[in-house]
Amino acid sequence: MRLMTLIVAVALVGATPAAAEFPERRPIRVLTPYGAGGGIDIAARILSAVGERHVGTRVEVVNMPGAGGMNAMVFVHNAEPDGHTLVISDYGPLVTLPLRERTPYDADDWVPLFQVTEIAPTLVVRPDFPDPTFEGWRQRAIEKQGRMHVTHGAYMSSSPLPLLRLEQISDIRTNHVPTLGGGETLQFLLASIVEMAITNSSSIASSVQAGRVIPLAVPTAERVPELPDTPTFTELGYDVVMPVWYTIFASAKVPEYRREILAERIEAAYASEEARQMARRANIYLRPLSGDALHEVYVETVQTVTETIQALDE
Amino acid sequence: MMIEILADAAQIALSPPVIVAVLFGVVLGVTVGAVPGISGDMAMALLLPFVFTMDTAPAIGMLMGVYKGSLFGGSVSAIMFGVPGTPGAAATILDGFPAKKAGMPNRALHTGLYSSVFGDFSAVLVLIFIATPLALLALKFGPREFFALYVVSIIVIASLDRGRVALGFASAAVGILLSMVGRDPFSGAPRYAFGSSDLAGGLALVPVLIGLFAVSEIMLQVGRTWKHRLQEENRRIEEAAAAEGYDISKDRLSFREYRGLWRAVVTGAATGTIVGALPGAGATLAGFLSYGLTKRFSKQPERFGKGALEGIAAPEAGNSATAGATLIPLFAFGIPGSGSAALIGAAFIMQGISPGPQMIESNMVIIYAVFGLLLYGSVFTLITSKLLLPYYARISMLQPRYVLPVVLGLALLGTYATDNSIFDVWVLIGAGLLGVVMRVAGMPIAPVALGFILGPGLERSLRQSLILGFNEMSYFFQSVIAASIYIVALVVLVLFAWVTRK
Repeated sequence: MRLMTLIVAVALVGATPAAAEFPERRPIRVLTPYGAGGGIDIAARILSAVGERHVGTRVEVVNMPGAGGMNAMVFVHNAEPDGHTLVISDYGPLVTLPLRERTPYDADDWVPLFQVTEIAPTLVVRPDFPDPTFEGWRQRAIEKQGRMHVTHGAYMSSSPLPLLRLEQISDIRTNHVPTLGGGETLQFLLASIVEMAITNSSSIASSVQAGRVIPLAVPTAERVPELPDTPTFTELGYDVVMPVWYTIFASAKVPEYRREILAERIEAAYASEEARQMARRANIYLRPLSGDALHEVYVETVQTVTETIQALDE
Repeated sequence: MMIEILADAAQIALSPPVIVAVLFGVVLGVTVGAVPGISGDMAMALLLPFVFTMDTAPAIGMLMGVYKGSLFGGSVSAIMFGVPGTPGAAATILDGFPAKKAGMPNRALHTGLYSSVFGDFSAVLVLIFIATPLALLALKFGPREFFALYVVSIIVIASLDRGRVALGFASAAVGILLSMVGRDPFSGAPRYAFGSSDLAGGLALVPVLIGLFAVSEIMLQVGRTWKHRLQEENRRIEEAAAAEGYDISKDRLSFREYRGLWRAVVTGAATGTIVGALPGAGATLAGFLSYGLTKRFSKQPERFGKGALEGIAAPEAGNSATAGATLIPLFAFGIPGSGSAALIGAAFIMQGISPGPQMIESNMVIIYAVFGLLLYGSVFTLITSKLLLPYYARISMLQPRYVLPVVLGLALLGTYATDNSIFDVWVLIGAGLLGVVMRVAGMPIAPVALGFILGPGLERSLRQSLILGFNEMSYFFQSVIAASIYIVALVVLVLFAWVTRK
C-alpha cells in the first residue's frame, strides 16, 4: 500500500513538472505605471499584503511612473516572459497610448489576468445647478453652444473620453478645461470655476453623501454600487460604455499555463477575508472578474477607445 | 461631549505605540532630510506599505514625523554643504551656507532649528483652529489666481539679487524652459524629446536640483584641485586652520540674538502657513517667498547672502510651516496640496478615512488625536535635533574632499533609487554641468530651481485661464483675488524702489 502511494506520488510529480516549478521562490513584481498613493497603487498593495500565502511567493509592488505610463509598460514587455513580472493598470497606458504614439507594444500584446475593480468616470454638478439632472444639463449645454465650461483630467486620459464619445454621438458641445487629476477637478467644480466635472465615482462618494455634488450619469454597463441612484448613459439612451478598470495583466508572451496559475491564485488572494477587509477600509469596491468575461471586457474597451480616438483624429 | 472626545483623543495620542511611531518618524525624517537626494517624500513613500498593517494614529504620526523632521533636516545639509537636503531647503542655502563659511555653523543650525519648530508649531495651531475658513479662501484660487501668484513669485525671486536682476530673470527662464521638457500636461504629446522616450518622460525634480546645487559645486571643487593645485593647497591650509581654530563655545546662539530675529520668524511662519494652504504651492515656494519678503522688509538687507541669521530663520520657519498647513485643504476638501500631502491622504484612505468635507466630523476622536501628535511631534523635532546639532556642526567643519565624495555617492544613489532610473543619473550629471557653466558665468542658481519648480504650474494655470476666458486677456484681471495679488505686488515693488532710493 505504502509503495503504491509512493509510486502514485512520483508519477504525479513527474506528470506536472511545470506546475511544480511555478511560481519560483523569487518574488513576483507587479509594476504600476503611476506613483505611490493613487487608487491603482492601493489596489496593488492589497495583493502585496496578502499575496504570499495565496500566490506562493512574495508579491512586490514597483511604482514606475513616467513617459505617460510607457516606462512601466516597456519594462514589463521586455522582461523575461516567465510570469514573474506583471503590470496593474487602467486602459490608458495599454490601449490609449499605443493609439497615440509609437510604442514597442500594442493592445494585443497583453492578456488580462484579473480585474480588481471597476470605476465610473461620473458626470457631476453642484447642487445650485438650475436643473441638476442629465436632461437639465444637456439642455443648458446646448443653449450655451459650446461655451459651458466642463473639467476633467488630461485630454486623452480616461475621464474625458466618455464625454468626448457622448459629444461624438450627440449634439452636445462643451468647453473642455483639462486638469492634472481628481483633486483639481473637484476643486474647479466646488469653486464654481466650471459648471460640470467628470471624476471617479469612488473619489466623490463622500461628497455626494454630503450633498456637495450631484451625480448625473455613469458610463458603465450597469449602475455602480457606490452611486445606486445614478443612471447609466445606456439607460438615458446614449451608447457610451467606457468604465475604467484596474486590471492585472501579463505579457502575451508568458506561457498560458503560467497565466492560468497566476489568474487563479490572484483571484484567491483578493477573495480572502483579509483582502476584502483592506479594500473596504480603503474604499475600494472589489469587482473581481477573470477568464472569458474579463477577456470580453478588454476586447470591448479596446474597440470603443479605438473608435473614439480615431473619430477625434478625423 | 467635547471633553469626552478630547479625553479619548489624548488617550490615543499619548499611548506608547503612537509616541514611539512619531519619535521614529521624526528621527528618520531629520536624517533623510539631511541627506541630499533622499527627500521626506521618498521616505514616506517607502513607509506606505507598512501603513496597511498599523493603526491610524501611529501610522499617520509616523508619516507626519518623517514629513516634519525632513523639512528641518533639509536645512542641515543646506547650511553645512550648501546642498539642499530636500527641495524645500533650497532657499536656506542663500544665507545658511555663507553663515557656515563665516565660521558660525552652530548658530546657523540652531537658528534653523528654532525657526523650523516655531513655523511648524504655529501652522499646526492654525490648522486646528482655522482650518475650514482658510481652506475656503484657498479653494477660491482658480487658474487665474494661481497664475497671478506664480508670476508675482517669479518676479520677486528673480529680482532678489540686486545688480543681477537681468541675470536672475534669465536664470528663471532657463528653469521654466527645462520644466517644459517632457509631455504636454494636457495633450500628452512629447515636447523637446528629440525622439527619446526618456526625455519624453520629462526631467525629474530631484536630479535637477541636486545636480544644480550639489554636483556643480563638486565638479568645480574637483576642477580647482586639478587646475590650481597650489591655490587649493593654500585654501586647505586655511581651512585646516579654521577647523582647528573653530571653537564651538564661541559659536553659540544666545536667546537675545534669536529674539532679535522675531520679525523674520513670524514673517516666515505666516508666509509658510498661507502658501502651504494653497494647493499646488509647497515648501520650496514658501521658503523662497519668506526669504524674499524678509529681505525686502529687513532693516539690513545688505547683510543677506552673506550669512545673515534672518536669512536662515525666515525660509526655515516658512518651509516648516507648510507641513501643518498643507493638511488644511486635505482635511477640509480632500484636496492634497503637495506630493507629501498626497501621501498622507493615501495613508488616511488606506486607514478607511476619506479626506474630504465629512472627514473631521465623522472621525472626531482620531482627527483630534492626530492634531495632538502633530503638536508634540514639533517638540520631538526640537529635542532630538538639539541633541544631534553639536555633532552636525562639527561634521560641517570636515574638509570638503572627505565630505563631497560621500555627498556625491549619496546623491547618485538617492537619485537612482527614487524612480529606479539610470536616465535620472544622467540628468543629475547634466544639471551639474549646467550649474558649473552658470556659476562660472555669474548667473544665480536659485531662480533656475524656482523656474523649474513653478514652470509646470505657471503653464497649466496660463493655459487653463486662456481656455476659461476664451482667449480674452481681460479674463486674467476680472478676479478680485488675482487683481489684488497684482496690485499688492506692484505697491510693494514701488514702495521698495522708493525706500531704497531714499
